[in-house]
Amino acid sequence: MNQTEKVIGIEELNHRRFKTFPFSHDFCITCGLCSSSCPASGIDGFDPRMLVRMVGLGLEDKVVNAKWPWICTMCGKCEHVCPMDIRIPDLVRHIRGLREKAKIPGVLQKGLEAALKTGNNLALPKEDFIYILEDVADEIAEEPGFENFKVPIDKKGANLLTTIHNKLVNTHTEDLKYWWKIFHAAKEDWTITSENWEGTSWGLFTGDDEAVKVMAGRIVEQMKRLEIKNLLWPE
Amino acid sequence: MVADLEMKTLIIGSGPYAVNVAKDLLEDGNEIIIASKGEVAPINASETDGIDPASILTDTKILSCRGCAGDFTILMGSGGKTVSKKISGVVIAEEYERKPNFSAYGLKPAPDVLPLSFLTGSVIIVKDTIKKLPQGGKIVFLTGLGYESNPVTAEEIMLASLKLQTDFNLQTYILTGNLKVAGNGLEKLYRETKTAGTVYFKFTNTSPLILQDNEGKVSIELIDEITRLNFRITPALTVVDETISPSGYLKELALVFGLHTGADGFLQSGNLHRTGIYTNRKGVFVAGPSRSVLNAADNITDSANAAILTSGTGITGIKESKPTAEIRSGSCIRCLTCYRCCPYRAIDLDIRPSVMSDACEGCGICFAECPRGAISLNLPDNRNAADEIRQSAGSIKSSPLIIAFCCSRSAVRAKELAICMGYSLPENLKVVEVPCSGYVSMEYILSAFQNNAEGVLVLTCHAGNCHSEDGNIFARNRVEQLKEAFSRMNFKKERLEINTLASNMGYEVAQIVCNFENNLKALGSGDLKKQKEQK
Repeated sequence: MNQTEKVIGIEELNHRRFKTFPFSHDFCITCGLCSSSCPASGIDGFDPRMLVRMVGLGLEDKVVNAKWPWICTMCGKCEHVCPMDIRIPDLVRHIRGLREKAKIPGVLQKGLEAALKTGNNLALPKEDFIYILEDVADEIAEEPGFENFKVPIDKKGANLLTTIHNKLVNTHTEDLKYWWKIFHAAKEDWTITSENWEGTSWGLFTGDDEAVKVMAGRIVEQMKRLEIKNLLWPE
Repeated sequence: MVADLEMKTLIIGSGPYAVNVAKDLLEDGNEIIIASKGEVAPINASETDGIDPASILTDTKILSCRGCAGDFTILMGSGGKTVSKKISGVVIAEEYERKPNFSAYGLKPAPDVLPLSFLTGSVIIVKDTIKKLPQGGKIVFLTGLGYESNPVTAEEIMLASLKLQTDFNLQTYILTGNLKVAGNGLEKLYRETKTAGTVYFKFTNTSPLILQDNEGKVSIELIDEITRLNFRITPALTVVDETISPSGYLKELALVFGLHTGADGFLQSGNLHRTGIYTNRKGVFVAGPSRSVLNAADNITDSANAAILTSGTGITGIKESKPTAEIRSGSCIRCLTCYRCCPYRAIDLDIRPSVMSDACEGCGICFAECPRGAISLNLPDNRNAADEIRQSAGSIKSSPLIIAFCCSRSAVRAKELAICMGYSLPENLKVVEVPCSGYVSMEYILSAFQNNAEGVLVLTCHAGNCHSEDGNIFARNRVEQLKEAFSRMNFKKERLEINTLASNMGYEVAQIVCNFENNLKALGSGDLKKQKEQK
C-alpha cells in the first residue's frame, strides 16, 4: 500500500451521487484516450481520466475542490476521442457549478455578479456606455468615406441587434470600429441597446446555468423591446 | 455380454446439456442412450421428464469404440457388467470441472466467502443468503487477479453483480486484472452493470491486499491505479471466481474414441477445420462443456446442434464417391502403423486391419507411412502420382525441372491464383496435385529426382491448418529426414524444400517457386551428374 496517503473507507463514498448528472454514467473503460488527447493533461497533475474515475467513485469533495476542473479549457477533444461517449466537458462544467460561489477562482464570479446586478461585467453606468460609443463613432466620422457616421443606439425596428463584449468598451475600443465600418459599408440596418448590452455570459464558465439563463433572457427582452428579429451575438 | 442390434445415439454426460441433446433427439423420434459415469443419476425427475429411465445408464464408462459413423459398436462397463451397443452417432457432453480460486486470493471458504457458482446456481438458495446480508452491505467479486480469466467467468460475474445491484439494491465491486469482454453482448452487459452502480477496480501494476481474520471475515486494502488513492473495503460477502477446466473423464474418452485434444485438454484440437461441434472422427460430436469454455447460451446451441447432426440418417450424410485407401492383406504385417497415423480413426482392427471406406477421407497419410507399401490409394479422377512423375521427366528444357507436390486444399489453389494474377512461374515447373501433403511418400520424392527433377518442392498447409490434422507434419518429417540423408551423400540438400501456404497466397507461391528455381540454377549440376554416374 501507498503509506503516504490516508486510506479511504469505501463506505464513506456514495458511488451513486454522480448518477444524478444526466450525462455522467460512468462507462469509462480506463483506456486513457482522453488523457492522451487533452492539451491540458499534466498541468498541475490534471488528467481527465482521473477526473472521470473520481466522479465514478463518488469522491465528490475532492473533485469539486480540486484545481483541475478550472484547468480544463473545455475544448472537447476528450469527448471527441472517447470510445464510450462520456461527455467529459459537460462533466467538468457541472463540477464547476458545484463549487461554493466564494471559492470560484479568478474574476469569474466577480464579473458574473456585476453582470447580474448591473447588466454588464464592468458595472458600467448607462451614461458612460453611451458616451464611449458616441466617442468612438465621432472618431470614425473623421475618416474619409464615413463623414456622417453615427452609432444607432436603441433604434426600434432595426434589422439587426448586436451585443457588446465588455472589453470593447473598456480596453479594446478600437475593435468596435471594424465591426461598425463593416455594417456601414454593407448598409446594414443595425443597432445597439443601451441596456443589458453585455455579450459575455460567464455563467458558461462557472457552470452557473441560472446565470446563463438570466443573461440570455435579458437579450431576448431587448429584442422584444426594440422589435428586432435578428441578433448578432459575437461572444 | 448383452448384444443390442438397434441403432441409437449415445450421449455421454450427466448434466443439463446431455439431457438437452437427449430431449431434442427424442422429440424427433430417435432412440437414445445416456451413459453417465456417475453412480447415481445426477439429473432429477422433472428434468428427465419423457426420457425412458431404461435408456439412462448410470455408473457407466465407455471401454471401446469400433466402426464408423452410422455403425459404431461401443463397449461399456455398466454397473459391473460389460454391455455392447450398436450406435449410429455419439455426442460427448460432459460437464466442466469448476474449482474455486480461494487459495489464489489467500482466502479460505467461510459463510461470507463463497465461490462464484454459488451465485450462478439455484436462485432460491441465493435469495436466502443475500437476504441475510446487512443493510448497505458490500459485495466484492475477485476475478482474474494474477492469472488470465475468460469471458464466460466475466459474464457470470457481471450477471450476478447486475442482479445484486438491481434486484437487491446491494453495492457490488468487481476487482479484476483484465476484464474479458470478448463475447457476445458482454460490452453491453458491462455498461448495464456500470449503470446499475457496480464499481470496478482494475489491477495492472498493483495487487489488492486481501486479509481474512480467524472468523473468516475479509478486509481488502487496495490502490485505485487511476486516482492513486488508497481504499479499504470490508465486504459483507466475498465471491471468488473459479477455474473452469475440462472433465477429467475427457482424457479417457479421447483415448477410447481416438479424438485429438486441444492444449487446454478439451476434446477439440486447435485445428481450424474442427469448427462447431465436429471432431476428427466422423459421427462423434463434442458439445459445449466438452469442447471449450463457453457460456450457457453457446452450450445450449451446441447441444441443439448435436441433436440435429445425430438425428435420423443425418449422421451418415451424403456419401461422397471418392478414392479411399485399401490395405492389401498379402503385404500387411499388422504393424498397425496405419491405425496409429490415421487422423480419422478409419482403420478397423479385426483379425487384420482394414479401411472403413465411410470413415476414410482419402488423405493418404497411411499410404505414405506404411512400411510395407501395403496400402494403395488412387488419386481422384483415376490419376496416378507415379505416372505423373515419370511423365514430367520427358521434356528436357533449358531451365531446371522442378516437381512440386502441391496439397489440393492450399498450394494448388494458390498456384491457380498466381496464374490468374498474372505472375510468371518457372518454365519447367511440374505440379503433382495431392489430396494432402501427408500423401507424399519418401518414395515419391526420390522418384522425382530419379526422373530428372533438379529440385523437388512440397507445398503444404500452414501448421494447424491441415484438414487431416498432421499431414503437413508427416510431410515435414519426411522432407527433413531426406535432407539429412542428402547432406551425407554429397547431394545438395537445397534441392528439396517444404513450404507452407494458404489458398489465398498467389503472390507468395510465385515467389517461392521462382526463388527456388534461381537457387537451383545457382547450385549448378555437379552433384546431379555424380549421382547419375553412380547410378
